[in-house]
Amino acid sequence: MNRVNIVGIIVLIAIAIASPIIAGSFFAPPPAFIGPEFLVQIVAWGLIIGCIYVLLASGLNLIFGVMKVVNFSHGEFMILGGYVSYWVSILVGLDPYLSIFVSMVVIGLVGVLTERVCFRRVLGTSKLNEIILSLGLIYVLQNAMAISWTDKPIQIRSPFEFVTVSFGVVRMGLDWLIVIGVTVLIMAGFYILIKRTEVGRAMRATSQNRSAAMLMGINVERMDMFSFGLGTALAATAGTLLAILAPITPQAGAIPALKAFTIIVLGGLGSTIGAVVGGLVYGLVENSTIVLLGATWKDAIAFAILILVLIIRPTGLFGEKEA
Amino acid sequence: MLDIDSVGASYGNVQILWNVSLSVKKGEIVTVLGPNGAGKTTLVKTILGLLHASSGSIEFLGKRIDGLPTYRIVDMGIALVPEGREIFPRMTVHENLLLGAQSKEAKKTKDDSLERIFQIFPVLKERRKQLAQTLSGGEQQMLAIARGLMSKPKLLIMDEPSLGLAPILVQKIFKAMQEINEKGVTILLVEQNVHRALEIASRGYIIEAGKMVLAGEWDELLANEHVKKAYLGL
Repeated sequence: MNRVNIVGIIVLIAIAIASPIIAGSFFAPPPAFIGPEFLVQIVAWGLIIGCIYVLLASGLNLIFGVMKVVNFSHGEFMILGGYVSYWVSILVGLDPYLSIFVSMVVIGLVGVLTERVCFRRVLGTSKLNEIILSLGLIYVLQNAMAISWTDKPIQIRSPFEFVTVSFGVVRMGLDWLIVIGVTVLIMAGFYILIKRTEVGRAMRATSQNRSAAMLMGINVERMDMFSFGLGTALAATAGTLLAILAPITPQAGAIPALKAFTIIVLGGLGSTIGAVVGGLVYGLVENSTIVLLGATWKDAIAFAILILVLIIRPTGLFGEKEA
Repeated sequence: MLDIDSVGASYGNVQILWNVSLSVKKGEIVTVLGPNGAGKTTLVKTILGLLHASSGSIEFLGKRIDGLPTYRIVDMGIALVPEGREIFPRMTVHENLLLGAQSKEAKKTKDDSLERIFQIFPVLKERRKQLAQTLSGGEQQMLAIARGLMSKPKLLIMDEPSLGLAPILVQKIFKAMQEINEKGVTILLVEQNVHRALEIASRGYIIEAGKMVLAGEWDELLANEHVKKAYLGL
């Protein structure tokens, strides 16, 4: 990580927190209840939402990196993961947080199957085929979920629903802390898998130079399958955490997926750390906007920052020029 | 060891190779020479299965390899050092080298291979922890060759290893090639640098516009009128 990146991140975080406040002073009278503890609360909630984005964007980024496919149906895999956890926790009575692991395995396998049966057949034929395939999957998955479980919103009931923890002036739900903890755990595992294991090394090689990876004797199609499975498994984690924090419906994945695209552009396409920083920054921006300006502004401010990044640094914060 | 029999290959509707035949025996250094755009790289890609032959057959150690996926061909003992080096830029030299050892056998002996490679290219040992993109062009070429050797290949194919390198580095690379050959690795060298290539190769083929136009021992080729005129500027 070089200095430009660090300065860039600091500036971006400053913009992220300041812009809604500045914009707020133009459009609306500053809310009277802004105190230090309130600001901490905003940051905390921003980070929690950011965690969901980090998980979602990291998976999307992995799939894009290795396969060079933009999986538009990533949000639907996320929601499907939420539903799987919901049913596992209800039918088997498993703790919702433990059901994450069941959901990861199930959705990971669904992802592997999707790659094997759908994407492998169109990969390399034409970008348009890949795009239409993944767009088509959105509707297939959404409607399959609606048929199976109706459109009614569902929410996973956490056993810690009413437990709060206080840090000095700040009170937080225990669930919030667990969400952050689970994300850190899963992302640490993901990082070790990608950076320290042989499979991870082969996946990175495939993403950096596919034909050279083939020449090394790497079975790149298998890497496609692994990365799709791993990416969708991460989405399943995001979906479960989302369903614990808020109600979900079969259609609820579309907007978060759109944001995940924004985040990986923000962080730099293919950059692992970029997806993490991008996700957290995005969560902060979005949440401070909701609180200070009202929910109607959240996407406007967030996407305005995206446009700004694209103008100033088109490769994203951690992106590199094509070698 | 490698027998290519009247192979044709095309990109889409454009046929690049026409009835190309070539053979390499164990222990040899054989060179394929030809001008830009003659189809040398296409030939190499076809051998490795990156491109599928539209006609003819390719055999390695008596087994058909045309139609096999690339990783299976690499597993059988062919390694390619591609044109333009194609290293993994955002990985360390060490990681690049480890990626070269994919087969079970190569993985088992990887420490041993690393040691032998560092003997041939000591500079890679010094730069082990650096990102590959920070290496100079010559060092990247050495890394590409070293990475190819990590798979313990029986046949090492090199596509224009001298491209874009200073003469002193070219000399170094060619010396390394001879060393590698002496250690028992058969080499197929694809080159435009006719002089240098025929210095170390025992036999050569000349490919022009996708067809093999000439084949022979190194001294025959050097004495050939066409070669003299077109390649040596005599």
